[in-house]
Amino acid sequence: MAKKKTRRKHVSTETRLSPADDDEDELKPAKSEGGVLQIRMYRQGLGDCFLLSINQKKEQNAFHILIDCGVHSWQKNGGDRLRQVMQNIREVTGGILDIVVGTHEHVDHLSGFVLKDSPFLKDYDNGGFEINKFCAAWTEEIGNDQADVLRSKHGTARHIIDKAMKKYESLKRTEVNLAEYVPYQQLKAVHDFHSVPKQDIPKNLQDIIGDLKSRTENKQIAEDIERDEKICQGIRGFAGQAGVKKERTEPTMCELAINLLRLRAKQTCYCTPGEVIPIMDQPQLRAYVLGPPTDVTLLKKDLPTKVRGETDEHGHSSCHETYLTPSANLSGFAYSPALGIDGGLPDYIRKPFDQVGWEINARGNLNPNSPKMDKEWKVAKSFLKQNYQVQGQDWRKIDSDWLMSANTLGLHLDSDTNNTSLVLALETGNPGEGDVFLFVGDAQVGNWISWQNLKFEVDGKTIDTHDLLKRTRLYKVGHHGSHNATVKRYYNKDDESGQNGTAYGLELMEDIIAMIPVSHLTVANRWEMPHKPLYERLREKAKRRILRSDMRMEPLSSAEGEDRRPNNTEPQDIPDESSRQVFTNWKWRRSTEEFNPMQAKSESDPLYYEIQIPLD
Amino acid sequence: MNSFYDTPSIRKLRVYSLDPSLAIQLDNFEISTSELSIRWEELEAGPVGEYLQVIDIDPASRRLYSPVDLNSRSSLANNGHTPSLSNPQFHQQMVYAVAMKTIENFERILGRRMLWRERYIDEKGRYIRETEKRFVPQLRIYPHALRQDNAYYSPVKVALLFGYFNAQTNDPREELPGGLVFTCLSYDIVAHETTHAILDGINRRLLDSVSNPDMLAFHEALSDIVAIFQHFSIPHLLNDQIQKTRGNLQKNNLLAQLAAQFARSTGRGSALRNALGQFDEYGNRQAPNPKELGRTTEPHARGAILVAAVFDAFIRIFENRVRDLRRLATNGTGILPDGDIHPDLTNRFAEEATHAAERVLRICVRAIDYLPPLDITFGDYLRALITADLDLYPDDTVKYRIAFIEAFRARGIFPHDVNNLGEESLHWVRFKERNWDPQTLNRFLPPRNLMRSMAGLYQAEGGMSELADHLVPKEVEEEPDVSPSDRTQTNEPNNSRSLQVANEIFLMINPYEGKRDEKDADLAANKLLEAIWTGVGSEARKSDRDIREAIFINERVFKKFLHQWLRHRFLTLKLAENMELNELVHEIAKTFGIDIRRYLKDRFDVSQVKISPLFGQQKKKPPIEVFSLRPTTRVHQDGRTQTELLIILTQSLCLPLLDANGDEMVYNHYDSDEPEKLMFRHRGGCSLILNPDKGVIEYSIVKNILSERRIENQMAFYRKQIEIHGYQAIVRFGLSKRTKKQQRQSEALAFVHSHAEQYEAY
Repeated sequence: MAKKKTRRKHVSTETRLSPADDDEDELKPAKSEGGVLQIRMYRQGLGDCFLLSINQKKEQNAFHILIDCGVHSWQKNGGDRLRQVMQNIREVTGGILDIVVGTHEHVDHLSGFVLKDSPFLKDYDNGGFEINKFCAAWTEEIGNDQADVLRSKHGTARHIIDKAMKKYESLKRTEVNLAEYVPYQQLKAVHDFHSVPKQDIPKNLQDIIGDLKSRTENKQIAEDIERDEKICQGIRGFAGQAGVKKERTEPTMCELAINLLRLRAKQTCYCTPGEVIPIMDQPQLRAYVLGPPTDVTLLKKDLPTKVRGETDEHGHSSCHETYLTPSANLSGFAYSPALGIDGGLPDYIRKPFDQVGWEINARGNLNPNSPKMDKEWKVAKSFLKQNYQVQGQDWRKIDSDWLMSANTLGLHLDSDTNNTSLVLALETGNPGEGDVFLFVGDAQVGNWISWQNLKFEVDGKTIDTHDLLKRTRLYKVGHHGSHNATVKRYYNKDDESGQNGTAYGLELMEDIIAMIPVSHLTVANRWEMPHKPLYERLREKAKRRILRSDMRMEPLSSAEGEDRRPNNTEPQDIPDESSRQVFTNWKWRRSTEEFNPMQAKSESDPLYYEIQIPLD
Repeated sequence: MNSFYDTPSIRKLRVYSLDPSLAIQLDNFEISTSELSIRWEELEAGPVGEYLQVIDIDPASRRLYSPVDLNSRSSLANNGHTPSLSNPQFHQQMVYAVAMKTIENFERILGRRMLWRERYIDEKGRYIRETEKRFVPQLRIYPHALRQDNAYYSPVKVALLFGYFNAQTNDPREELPGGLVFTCLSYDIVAHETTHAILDGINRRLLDSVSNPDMLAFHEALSDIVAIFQHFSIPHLLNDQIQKTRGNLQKNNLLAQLAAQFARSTGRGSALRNALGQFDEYGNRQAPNPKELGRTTEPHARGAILVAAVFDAFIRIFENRVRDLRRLATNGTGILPDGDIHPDLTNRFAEEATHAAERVLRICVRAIDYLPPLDITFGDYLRALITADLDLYPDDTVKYRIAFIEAFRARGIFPHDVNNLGEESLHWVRFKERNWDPQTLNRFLPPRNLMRSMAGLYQAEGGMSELADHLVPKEVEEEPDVSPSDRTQTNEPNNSRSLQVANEIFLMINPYEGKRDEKDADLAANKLLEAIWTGVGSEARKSDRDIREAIFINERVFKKFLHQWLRHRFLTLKLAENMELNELVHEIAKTFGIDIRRYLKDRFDVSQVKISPLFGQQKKKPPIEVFSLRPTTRVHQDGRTQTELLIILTQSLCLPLLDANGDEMVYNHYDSDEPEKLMFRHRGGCSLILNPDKGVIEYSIVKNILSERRIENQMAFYRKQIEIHGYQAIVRFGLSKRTKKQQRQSEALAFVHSHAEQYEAY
């Protein structure tokens, strides 16, 4: 403890005296007499990175919480921008992060921790970070049976997707350019949620983690991680089939990031819904854990309930089983002999007909080594030649159509991973009274619905989700503003009309500031982010106080005028016309520091937006 | 060998009546399989025949299954292989039999041969020149193409792809958990997909050019209707179900259910879709809700509403027909006592059901020919149903049409362009009832003798392939967004007789060569007539199999001739004394759906024509296109047969997509900072039904290209789709030039590209 304090002081002095730092004054409390909470949304592009700093008036040292640090692999110059962001974090915090939160395993939330030249790869003494506590969702806990099964299945799905991609590539479609082939591109999009561009992968990443593993005092963690690497490879537990050939697969960047954080942090905490996490020595601050749900059906629910159609006992439409059930349709796909991960399985599982049919080799011809090259074989061979391998008829072949199944799997993997997002509601002031700051990661519908009946006990008070939502002042919009990551209504089975549902989620929030980390240039052509109807509603709810990280102004029909956002590097009052005056003394600003220009600079490109909130 | 009795007329093949799941239910075992009588044709192993080519390759399993030989002695003696899950050769036999039965039904009802979609786009999304082979003789069927709970018709490959998968249930009472389910063994799924292919062959624009929420839904609905009403042609299945429901077909029964095994094994309940609609928890049918249509947009769900309406009409007709039987059997009370009904009564009920089902299927399928060529809605379909039936069965003793109108109305389906829902109002307006002097309008048609030859030639002679190759019009009409470099420019020098004839015909009809007299066109028509009867440029048919290719080629010749003919007529059109130009252009647009300003601009000042500002100021006015020209033979109520020519004229132009405020919509592509303007293709045109004997137009079923309302509706539809599906909608509806190729390559039916309904297809 003593060691920590000295180090802290040392660092902060160093930082503040640094003459090169433009943001010199920012750690000083604002005019308020109490402490100040600063929230920064970094603008690296499509990806989340939020730094929360608490400066108490009595304390010399700020307290820092980092929520996610990543950028999507499609973001132009994403690596460079994120490195600059991390450098800024290093300077501001002096290299000590009290809490690091990793919401879920997608690179747009985690890539920073394992990026080439990332300070997180370095020890504190070499310009890296010291992390006191790492918070992750319960789904990351090693040894939790349910979580292990889930990670194993996600691993299996990723493995199948990789195989399917390789298969597409190996078919070498002479007629179709893979770059223009939509099914392949869709699959690649899923794959890219787990990958980082080659030039941004550090060569010695495995060594760094290995080194950390050998140095750690907590041998248990090192053992767990080794066990987890096997779990995440999936396949092993797939459908419980013994004898499936195990193939070593590289761990994904996200898995490596989580492992790095597990090893680097002094303490790792896996959060379960219903818990209240005190923020260390900050009595005026606590975090309520809302998600991810522990109910499997809700984990799988990725879409708003349809008005028509069947509903199950939870009041939401029944979801299709995919790889979460061993006997699901995808098992048939995964066992496809052509995919190459079925070795060792009995024939009755691999093939639709036991002993029937002629094997086709990689070149598309009948295998000449067939055991019985009899008359029937010859008939089949000439049939194939005269009907399928006809010159000029390649356009009617179906060699790659079956691989489309992997795309369905991919869509589900994406949603399911998003649904494992750790959702935190931070509360300042007295329990049940103060302002709430809602960080939802990329939680989708099932995750949102799961919180609705949660109740928390703090200091003898009972606080429920509806109360938290109503007191929300700052909302980090889920999944870059996509249509299924912000719930507005809840459709109940008993609701006769089935039309409007009950107001929930965003509809319960009043007087908020909405933060949307997004980049329209990166997502264009692929997804609608932000989803226009949701964006419109957000603007209404936030009275146009919208911080979009891409700074884009949408001309939209129903909103009056443009979004409001800080246009100055000096702290400004936050516009607030409501009678409740909830934002009194709140300030916002944009950073003085700007991103290094990659091209001729046209407009300002600040590093972050910052909101300053007085703490009483 | 050639004696009358040596060539069989039918081939009997065994199939599953519905799907394999019935064969392991004690109650239903008796009805689980049946025999289909298929029109005899020479078959190769596969089976590969005139219409179908079954190729049983399974790339996911890296297997080829030996093709079935239906001519083998055992096959002929046993009516094919015994129904079996584990014998892929039976699977091939079943897809062949069911698909052929469906094709036969269509040919019988429509009175012409079915052709598959012409291949006009290659796999890279480029146009194929007309002189190259566009004819696709056979639909390919791949019974084991996918390892997925999916089956679909691929317009890109002109093929049906069927999947197989492990049942996703944990309840062995439904299906064996994890057991294999083959979609190619479901009668319904095969019939449904085949219908998609047939309908696409009749008018490919129904899939290629979607402009309202009803179009995809109509494709789905018709496919379901055909699948369901084919159930009634399986006698023992029908008898059994009549027995079990005691003649009350409103009770939940197998006849009204689609793809039961598929539904159970994918956790979708007891049937994929039920033509009886929804049931409440006590097993009673829920009353239809007319508001449901307005809030349903997903194609299958929307289609299901149309299916339910048709089935409801059937139930009404059936009830009407058996009411007397019921009274006879119950001493006049009409209330049947508890317990089983008498087998004789079952048979009589079944007989009535078969009659009613056959007639309903006929009405539904025949209506296809009475649909407008594009932008079709459910309301149009109702009008087409009524018109088709009223024409052939003027005397509607059993009140079929009233039943249809009533059932459609109960589900909120009605056209928006009629004053009331009476039969006469719904009937399309007869051509002669229009304002214009019919004589003037009929003048647009080629001479009667040529039309008669066009209608007749399809059936007998060979294809005029050489002539077809030379008839390349100077004005490239068909798809105006093709760059000229993609097309044939000139033909190789050729001094053949057919080239001379082709040149003579077109010299005579070319107004730019100074031939602007009506007589010139008549001379050209005579020249073509002469060529037809002397067989210039024709190839004799080698076998019966080539007959459909000959039809395809001759259609091409006639389409081109008609196109030149109409161009000549429009270019020489004179303004009547008391008529203004504005009036003329709009009258033609109302009558044929097309805008003829292109053909008038040399001689008139077309700027005086008042056109909606939505059209913008386009310098180039769109040309017309003769999209299809097909003869059909119908049998009237009184036994007369009548041949008619079905001609589709269309026209299209690209317009900017506007948002609700009237501003141009743009899209930001990820790889460019320059936003692209969104455009859409607006089409207009008409389906002409011609009587070649009288040389008159019977009907012109129009979608007016100059209609401002249509443009607005279409834009609203696209905007809504973009709002819901974003980029996917832009690709699907071809709204961006940069994604055109993607649109042409994509499988419209495999995966309706919405995030909300990933499990589309069948």
